[in-house]
Amino acid sequence: MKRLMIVDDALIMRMKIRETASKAGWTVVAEASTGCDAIRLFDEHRPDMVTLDMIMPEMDGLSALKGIRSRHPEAVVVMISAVSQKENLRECISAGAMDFIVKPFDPQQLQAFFERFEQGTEEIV
Amino acid sequence: MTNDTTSSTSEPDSPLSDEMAQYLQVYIDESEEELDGLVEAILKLEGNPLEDESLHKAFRLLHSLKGSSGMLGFEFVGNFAHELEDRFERYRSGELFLDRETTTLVLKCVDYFRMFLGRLRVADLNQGDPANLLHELKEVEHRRSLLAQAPAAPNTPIVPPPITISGGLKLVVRFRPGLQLADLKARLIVSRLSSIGEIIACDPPIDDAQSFDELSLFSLTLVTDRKIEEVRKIANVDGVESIEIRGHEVSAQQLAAIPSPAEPVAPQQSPTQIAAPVNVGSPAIPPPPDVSPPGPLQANPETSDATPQASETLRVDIGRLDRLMNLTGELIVANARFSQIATELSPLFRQSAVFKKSRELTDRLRERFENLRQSLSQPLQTDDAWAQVSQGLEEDLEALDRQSELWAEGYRHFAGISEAVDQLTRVSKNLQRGVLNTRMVPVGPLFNRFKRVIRDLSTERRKQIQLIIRGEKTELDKRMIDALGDPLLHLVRNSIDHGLERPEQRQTAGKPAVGTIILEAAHRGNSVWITVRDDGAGINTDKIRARIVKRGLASPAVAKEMTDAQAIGHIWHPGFSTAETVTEISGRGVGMDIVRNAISDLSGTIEVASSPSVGTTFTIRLPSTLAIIHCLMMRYRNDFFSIPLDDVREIVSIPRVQIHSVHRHVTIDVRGELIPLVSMKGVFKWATIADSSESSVASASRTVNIVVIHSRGKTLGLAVDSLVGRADLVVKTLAENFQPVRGLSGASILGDGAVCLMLDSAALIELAADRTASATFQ
Repeated sequence: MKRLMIVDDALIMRMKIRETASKAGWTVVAEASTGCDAIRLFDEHRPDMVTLDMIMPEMDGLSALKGIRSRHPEAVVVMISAVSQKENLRECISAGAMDFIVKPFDPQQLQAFFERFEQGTEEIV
Repeated sequence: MTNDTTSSTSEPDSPLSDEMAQYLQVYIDESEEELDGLVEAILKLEGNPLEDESLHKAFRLLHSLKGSSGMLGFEFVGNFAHELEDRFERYRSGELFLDRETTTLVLKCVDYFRMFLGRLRVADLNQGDPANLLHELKEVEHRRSLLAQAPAAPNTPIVPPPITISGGLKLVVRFRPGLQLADLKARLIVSRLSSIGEIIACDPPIDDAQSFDELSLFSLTLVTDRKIEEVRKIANVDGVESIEIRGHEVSAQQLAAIPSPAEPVAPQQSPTQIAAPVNVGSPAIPPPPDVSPPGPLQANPETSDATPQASETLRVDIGRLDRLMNLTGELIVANARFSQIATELSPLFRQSAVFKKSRELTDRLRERFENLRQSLSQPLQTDDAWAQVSQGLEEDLEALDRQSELWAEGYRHFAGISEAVDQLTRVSKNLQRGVLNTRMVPVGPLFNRFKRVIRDLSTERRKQIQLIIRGEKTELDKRMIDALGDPLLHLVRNSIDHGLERPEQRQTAGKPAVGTIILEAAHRGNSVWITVRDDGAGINTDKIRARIVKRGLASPAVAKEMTDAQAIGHIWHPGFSTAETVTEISGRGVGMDIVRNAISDLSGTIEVASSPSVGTTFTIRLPSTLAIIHCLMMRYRNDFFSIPLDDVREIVSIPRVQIHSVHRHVTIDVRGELIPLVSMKGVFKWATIADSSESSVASASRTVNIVVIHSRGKTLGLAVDSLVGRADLVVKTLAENFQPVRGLSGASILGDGAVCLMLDSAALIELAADRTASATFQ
């Protein structure tokens, strides 16, 4: 079973992603609401994937992404972003984000995404 | 995935689905918290419109609101949040300025959100239409923007001619229709693919300076040593509908010169003029993207401890906490039963007295038997009958010894039980305390809401007011916090409307122009006191007196005779309001009596003190939790009753002869004070028990136990049969299962399973006033 970490400052987002991932057969091993926690919890849990919100208090998604990737270059990070965050998202892609999901997302599509990954049809670079 | 999971998600996310309902509560709660934070940030910005932290906070909160609203399908709300978020972005960049007028408008927008959430709480999905607000905002911005319009984003893409190359793999990626940020997805694919090979062509060119609003199809040419299927997987990011790959897998030798796949290669700035895959290893490859320095990592670890972690707090439906509380209450009751049984048993075993006695008895019997045997030994020595009796007695004595031993062992076990019950008591008390604690929340957020009220009303009333908040960490039961909002709002509005004077009046009176309202919370013993204090003009007692007369509550002469305190006491009278109270805000028919009733419902009291030109203070006294009540327990006939200890002024025992009847009212004299007296019999209507036996018992004793009750400034003596003592009771409401009985507020189960009814002091006093005239005290 693949292990997921969810990083988002909004509880509702975390719940939604958690639910979707569970339906796709994932286990959520950690949740964080700030970038700092995300980095710390990544060290602790080494999840197979991280969903990372772009805008959070204290440390934003981009910095968190960089923080995680610098310590764990193999980390699979999927950004969760609003359309308006295009510029930041661009930087995230440069910084090695594996994919990004535009919110509000369609839960079915997100589930399909998780499933694809879970079944290994998605290859990680 | 199995079929059932897919079918469950395939249901449309309609606003009424069950799935939705599950999120709704969280959404409402979270959004309301966000709005609180937003208002705080906005108010801070009012002092310093360029303060970056607050600007960022407001931006972030709106962003989050937008996200979750969109998630739940509240499109209008989400879009509106987006508009505001967008504005805060521009306030930050300095493109727009957050002046006072704009602030007011933005606060109105917050009101819109609140209204929406309020409706949502009662399952009204009407999103309203914030178009007017947006229009107003735009209006203001338009007026401000006499300067320069925001420069339009440069949108002149330089499209180099696509180059078709023979060689490598040609990928045609089709995106899901309507995919947002598809151009960025294309960029992502380029980025991902460039780590396994080199992209030598791209159509349309994926480039930093360009963006495409609509991108349904995009193609690229990749030179790589990977298998086609592998390439497909890597290109298959979220949002891709199909990938068509043409061309041939390249042999390894051909690509020997390509940099190692581990080294990420950034996409080319423009389609490279490479004619054949052999050129791929040319030095034209830009350096890999900057792998971020671990800077933020080192800068922040210390703050990570201080921040509240998502994993460490948990939102719990208060209904569940209530159930937990009730169960804990039942545990306490069961525990009390154990304690009681243990207490009742303990005299049996006390210092193993019974054991000692039976031991002594056995010894004595044995001694006597021995004496008997010696004295009779000669003549009956050969008597078989005697030998039998002797042996039988011997055996009996031994059996008795064994019984004593068993008894002693029983005592030891009992000691163990007592100890276990003591420990159980300790644990369940701690458990109860723990459960109570989970319900406690600080009053800070409640108080902070008034910053906004003060700001709005002071502007509206053209008064200058500062709000001082003290003791915001004081904790109260969550239910109380929720119920306190309206009464406090009324008091604060009253202070602003009627208490605090205009700046010029204040200055004439020698006071600072800025009026002060203090909201304070503090623990005092088992209670929490909340005070609302202003340094205004005080309550105008002349107006109150005039109003008393006008309302026909007293004759002019009586009104004139009243002390100020007595006159002020009339503000609690239902429907009482002085003429000037009727303003658009306070004139909603919410009188001070409603405030007092709301506080009473929380088992609290409210009092007012006012002095002319110094100010007015309202003091609310609340129990720190609603779940446990400190009570005085007493007996009447064979039943137990309790009264909240807070309402008990004193307990007196008065000789029967000192009970007087004054003007047909039964009264007692307590240190010179005449207090009306009622008996339990007189105040309630009893259907069952016959009077005769009871009254004979009561009249047999020479003195009467009287509990002096004090509530809402009135005093009453209540005669009871006997007093049991103090008890902390878990009180349950009767309303759910029984018809309401005036004068009773709830019931508790005692240790032995008996029911103890709780008396409602205020109602009791009213009942007594109704009935004293007719009731006669025996």
